[in-house]
Amino acid sequence: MDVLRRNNVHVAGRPEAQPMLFAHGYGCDQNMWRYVTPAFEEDYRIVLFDHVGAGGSDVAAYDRQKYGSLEGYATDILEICEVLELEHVVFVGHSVAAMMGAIAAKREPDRFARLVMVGPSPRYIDDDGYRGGFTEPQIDELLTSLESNFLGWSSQMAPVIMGNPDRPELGEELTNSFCRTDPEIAAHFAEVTFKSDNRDDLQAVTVPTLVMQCSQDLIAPEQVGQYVHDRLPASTYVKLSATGHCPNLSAPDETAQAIKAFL
Amino acid sequence: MTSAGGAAGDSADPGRRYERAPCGLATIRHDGGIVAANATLREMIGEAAWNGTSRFHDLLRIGDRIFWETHVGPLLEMQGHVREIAVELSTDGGPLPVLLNARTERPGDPSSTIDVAVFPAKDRRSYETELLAARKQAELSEAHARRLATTLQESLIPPSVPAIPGLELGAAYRPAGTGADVGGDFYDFFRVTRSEWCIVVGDVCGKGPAAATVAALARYTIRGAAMESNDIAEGLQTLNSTLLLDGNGDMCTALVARISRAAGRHTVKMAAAGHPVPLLVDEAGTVAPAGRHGVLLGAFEDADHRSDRLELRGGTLVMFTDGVVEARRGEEFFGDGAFPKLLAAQHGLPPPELAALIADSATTFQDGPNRDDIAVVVLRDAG
Repeated sequence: MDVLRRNNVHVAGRPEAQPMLFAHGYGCDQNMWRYVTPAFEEDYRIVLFDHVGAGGSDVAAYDRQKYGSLEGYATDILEICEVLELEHVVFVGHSVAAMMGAIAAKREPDRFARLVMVGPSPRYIDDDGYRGGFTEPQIDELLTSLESNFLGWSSQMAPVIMGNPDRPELGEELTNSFCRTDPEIAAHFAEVTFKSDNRDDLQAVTVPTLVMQCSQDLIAPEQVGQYVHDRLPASTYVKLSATGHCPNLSAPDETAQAIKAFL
Repeated sequence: MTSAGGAAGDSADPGRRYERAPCGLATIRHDGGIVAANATLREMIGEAAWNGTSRFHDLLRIGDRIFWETHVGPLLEMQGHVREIAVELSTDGGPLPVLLNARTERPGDPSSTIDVAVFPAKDRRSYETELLAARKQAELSEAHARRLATTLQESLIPPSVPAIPGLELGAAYRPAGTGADVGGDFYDFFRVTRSEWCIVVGDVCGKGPAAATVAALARYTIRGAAMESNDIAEGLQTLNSTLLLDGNGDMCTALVARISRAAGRHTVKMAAAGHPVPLLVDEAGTVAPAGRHGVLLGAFEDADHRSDRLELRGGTLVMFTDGVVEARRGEEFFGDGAFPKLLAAQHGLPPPELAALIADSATTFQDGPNRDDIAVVVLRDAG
């Protein structure tokens, strides 16, 4: 099995430098980092990848069992580290990928030097004494919303989209390609993401971690970021003035500065 | 003149055209804050809902808001636009399904604004919802039909091959097409006396549940007749009469072999009715047809069936349905050359493997999926 092909891994930056591994969250692909990585290219080795099922990954490798929990995704992250022989890794995970990083760091703490969690949430659904921000019916509503928006998906387009993400001449056809996924995989990933509960993993993460919290983030509200910060044994909390859930796109400079200050 | 001139003046006024555009228009900030909106949109939402809203996102259902945060927002930042996003807006008249197009001039710049065009899509969405429901129903029905076909098909062939002392036996079955429909091929093994066994391979004309019921009738008629009489030709006559007396016009082919063991030697009595005669492969690999052809069952009242007798003597008897020999690639049939060649080369394989190899070779020989069912039974004298 070719891990680099499976996860559509791209390596850039300074070859012998400390590696920064960027993991995208639910919805789109590694392009989510396009405005942030340039700030680190001179000083770090940049590793980008797509989760299996997303972007330019090998969709045939999608296994419902393996990716039925975030553990499967964490396994892939560790495999990428192993194949590229990455050490002292700075792992930067957006949204659900923050928890994938937590699981990976729990399993192989020596592999990682730092974790950066952008908009993390260890559990999206409210529970006794815990406010994740969502109820279960609301998450089911998301699945309905996804379904309405897959009507334009054509399975015949899939190979073109998956195989040629870098070919702008396919322009019109490739509209939305950054965030286009096979409907069944997208629905499954949504369910795994929004129904996961990784609260107990947090206290086992010994790697120094930066928790980046956005303002007015619907997906990961402020009390959730605080919760993550409180549970992690070694964390730094920073609140961005950027609004929404994707500061890596909407406020790349502020995001990069916050990461640099932490490193 | 005056009124015509005034109308032309009105329609040329960009402000008025914006307000009265035939779609809802809004300019919003990245956090959803509304900068401007036209009258069409305000009317679409209704006064009460509109006045209670400061951010465009507040008009969205929670599922759609998550979709916005995880897909629409990122797409706007990466490609600068989105099209045909299906969401529901809260309005005074209840949830309104709409399609959205949106564009931002400067992706990645949080100070830039987003222009949104909103098209009501109530009828289209209910039609799509019906289509989705119909597709789900169709998928369920298809799975159900496939399960039924498989169950029915499995009732036409024994679940496993029996162990017969001194004989090695193998069988394989491959359905036509995608396997969604039940075919008419069947086979059977059963014991008739302490030292005698019967093997039947048959093919009912037609496909589907009707063919399956005829296959079941044929299988049990032959079984019953074989228990009554040791003359296998008589069994075929009984089935012939049964089909004719039923008067449904059902027809089938059948090959019956009755194997008896005496003094360590196996003798096969067999009779074919409208069915391809079996091939006998001797220990040296020579392939030859065995027995005579006979008349199709259910077609003629005066059909006369005769049986032949042969000694196995360490040889391999290969019985099959026409789906094997008539497997076709262009003008060429599998039975023409490829099949005898395969038998000559591979006759030493254990019968279960040989049966599977024949079925798979006939399948892959064809250009596309199997045009017909394929059934193979291989019998060898184990000495």
